[in-house]
Amino acid sequence: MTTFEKKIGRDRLFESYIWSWGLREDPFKLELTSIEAFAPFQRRDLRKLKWLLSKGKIGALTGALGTGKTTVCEFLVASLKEENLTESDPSKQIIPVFIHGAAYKSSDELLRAIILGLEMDASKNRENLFEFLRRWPQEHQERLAIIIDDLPESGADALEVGEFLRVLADITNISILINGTFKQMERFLAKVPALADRIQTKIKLKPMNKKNLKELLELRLKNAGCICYKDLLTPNGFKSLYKFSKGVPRSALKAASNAIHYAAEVDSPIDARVVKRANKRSFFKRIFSFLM
Amino acid sequence: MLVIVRKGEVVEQKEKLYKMKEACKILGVHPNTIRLWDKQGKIKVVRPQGGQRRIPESEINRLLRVPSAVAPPPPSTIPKDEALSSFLNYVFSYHRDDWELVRKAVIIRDNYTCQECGGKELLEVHHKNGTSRNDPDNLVTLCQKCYNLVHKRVRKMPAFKPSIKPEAPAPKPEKPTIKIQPPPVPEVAELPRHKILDDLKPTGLAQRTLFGDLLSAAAVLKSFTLGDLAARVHCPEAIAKTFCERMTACGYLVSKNGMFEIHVRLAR
Repeated sequence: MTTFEKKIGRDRLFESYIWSWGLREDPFKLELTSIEAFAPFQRRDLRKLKWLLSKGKIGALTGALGTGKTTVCEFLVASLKEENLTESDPSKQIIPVFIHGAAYKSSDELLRAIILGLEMDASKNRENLFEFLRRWPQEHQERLAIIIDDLPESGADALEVGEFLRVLADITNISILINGTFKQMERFLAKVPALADRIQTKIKLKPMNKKNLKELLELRLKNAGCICYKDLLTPNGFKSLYKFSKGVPRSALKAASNAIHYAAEVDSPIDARVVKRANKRSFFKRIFSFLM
Repeated sequence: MLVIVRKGEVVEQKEKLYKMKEACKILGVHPNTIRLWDKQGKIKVVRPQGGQRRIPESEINRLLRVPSAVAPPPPSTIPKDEALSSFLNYVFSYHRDDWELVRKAVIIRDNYTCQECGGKELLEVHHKNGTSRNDPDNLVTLCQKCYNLVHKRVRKMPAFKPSIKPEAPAPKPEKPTIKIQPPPVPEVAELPRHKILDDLKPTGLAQRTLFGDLLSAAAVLKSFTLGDLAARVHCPEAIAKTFCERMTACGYLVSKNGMFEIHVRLAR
């Protein structure tokens, strides 16, 4: 028993409520989860992205906050890795390298991150490392897919990084997917027109529609081991969640998490009233919601 | 070799003659270089009717086989030690103008010893006949004292001949080394990731990256079973098994009845 539990105590009410539904923990937690928890939407766009990565081209993935850009990227990485397990022909394998854009400050560090992602020795100097990528089509049959998350958020100089990516994209068998919020990406690409020209497809993730959001929430509950999720999340409550979140998955999950905590207090399934009470908005916000 | 046969008899036995252009291509030099060699007598050329230079095959073969036939002859003062002599040969053949290099080479040749008094400190390299020609025969190692002496003397006597005593080369003075006790060796070896992965010998890059994932998962879990590892990385257990087998073979994992324990630290 930890000091925290001794002094403050556990949330027994919430735990017993969750247990009664067959859950172990909060099913709507926001932290990134495995492939199973990803509910696909805009399937055509995702298929296009996959095709892009297998052809050695450059693509950009944009969208508003919380629409699931990073989740899509992680899903792509995980699925590519899974396919590599079964594919024995090396010329058909695509090796994904996932890089968190906020973690580097210059193109030099970005290059090092790519090499580290390939589990190679990155302690050499810059020229040697770049030579390794330059000779990629000659020395390796596999294709390389570099997926950079939150590219515009890094503190690096946009011109320098853009030029570096442009040179990388010209190497055959190397494909790049960059990802960032719509406005930031526009601003970033405006600085580097050469990179913007080379981008094959720009995909903008829209908020989920009603069907997909329902799929997502039910998938979460199903994965967490809920016995009768249709009773826990009433259609009424779902409609309210959708209205509240406007289809953005992140805010929907946040609202659902709040709602399930509130539902434990009042001991009822998640319905419209619970959702409304749990996610109280100030008077001002409620009235001028269309401005937001 | 070109052989002209007429009516079953060998009439003439001519050597093949190359034109200037062909010879340049074979030798990899400029035509002017061949003309220069011809002037200096380093190469024999034939001038048949017309007066143009034709280079015989034997001459080209000679040049190709022995490249130093054109280069100056090897200096006589070079010692017989193979590595050293080849080094000196190289320096004096190609880098005569690089004074620093020549100086060092001469000092090495003279075994870090003054050839006049046998001193081993403050060494200088001296041109014997007063000119600045960097010939191996013309250069000698002297210590600062002897060097100053010689240069005063040189004004009186134009040619200086140092009296070199045949002396057994003294062993190099050993540097006083302070023995530092090595820091206590950690029980677990610390290795960078790529070295561990090199040892595992994965087939292809896809397996390499997968092994990388497995390695980082193993480093987090510390002690684990096969199932734990496979579940964490989301890969089939067969691959986790091969990974664990190779790791144990390299000594990075210790297996105890189904449980594995990592025995290596990942260097940052």
